[in-house]
Amino acid sequence: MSGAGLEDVFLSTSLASYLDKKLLVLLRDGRKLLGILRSFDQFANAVLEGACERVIVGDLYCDILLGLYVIRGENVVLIGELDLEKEELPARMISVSAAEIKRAQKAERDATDLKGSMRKRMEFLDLD
Amino acid sequence: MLPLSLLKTAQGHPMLVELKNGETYNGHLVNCDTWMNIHLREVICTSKDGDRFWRMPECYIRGNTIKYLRVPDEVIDKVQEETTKTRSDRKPPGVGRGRGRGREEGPSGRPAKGIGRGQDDGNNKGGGRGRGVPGGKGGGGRGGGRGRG
Repeated sequence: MSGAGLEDVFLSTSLASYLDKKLLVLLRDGRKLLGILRSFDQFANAVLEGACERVIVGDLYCDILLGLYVIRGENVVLIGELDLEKEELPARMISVSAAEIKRAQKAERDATDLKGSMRKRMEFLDLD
Repeated sequence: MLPLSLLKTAQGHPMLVELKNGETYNGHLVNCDTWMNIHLREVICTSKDGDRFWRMPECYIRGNTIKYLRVPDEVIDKVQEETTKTRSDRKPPGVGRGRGRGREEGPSGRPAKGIGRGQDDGNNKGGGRGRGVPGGKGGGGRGGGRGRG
């Protein structure tokens, strides 16, 4: 019987050391969720309490409060601990309302859609 | 407390389920299993863009299509309550199992059982044997739970 010391826990690939800590969870669809890890299992299914989604568009950002989340492990790209001491965001970032960030998000999406369609139309030019 | 036991506790509560394809399903959880397959009642389905809606009385969602579930905040308090309750309940079934086995495996178990059955029929409907089996089962299940926790 080898008793797992504290260091072993931290060096292991387990999420145990992250329990009850504030984390950032990046999902496969690009969403960034912040919340306190309350539980996890062998599939990295995770329970986040007080979860919020951080939407960033350019220099604007907004934390949209969501509540209690159960995330299916498959959709997780990375999980990282947040440093509560340090300022998490660069100084130039501006906090805006949810409505405003939604508008900015939509504008950005429309712009990328347009870019895509323009490129499609110009395909005959053989740009590559 | 595992994520799936939280989901089990959320039975009967309203919840939002987002699938990997971006569709969301709002409804009350009827049941779920260890694969995260879920059964919802009174469902409103919303398209990825959030511009189209469908209502349906119930639906079943295969677990592997789920991205995440959003459950009411009070469920986490409820699951903690339940785990402490089952922990305090743990000892009695363990004792019951021990007693049940002894009776069955004992050398004088067979003849005693024959007599006992007759008595049980007179006293109560749940025979001594019947009581022993669920007790043993419960004890085993809880033992597994303890190992995991």
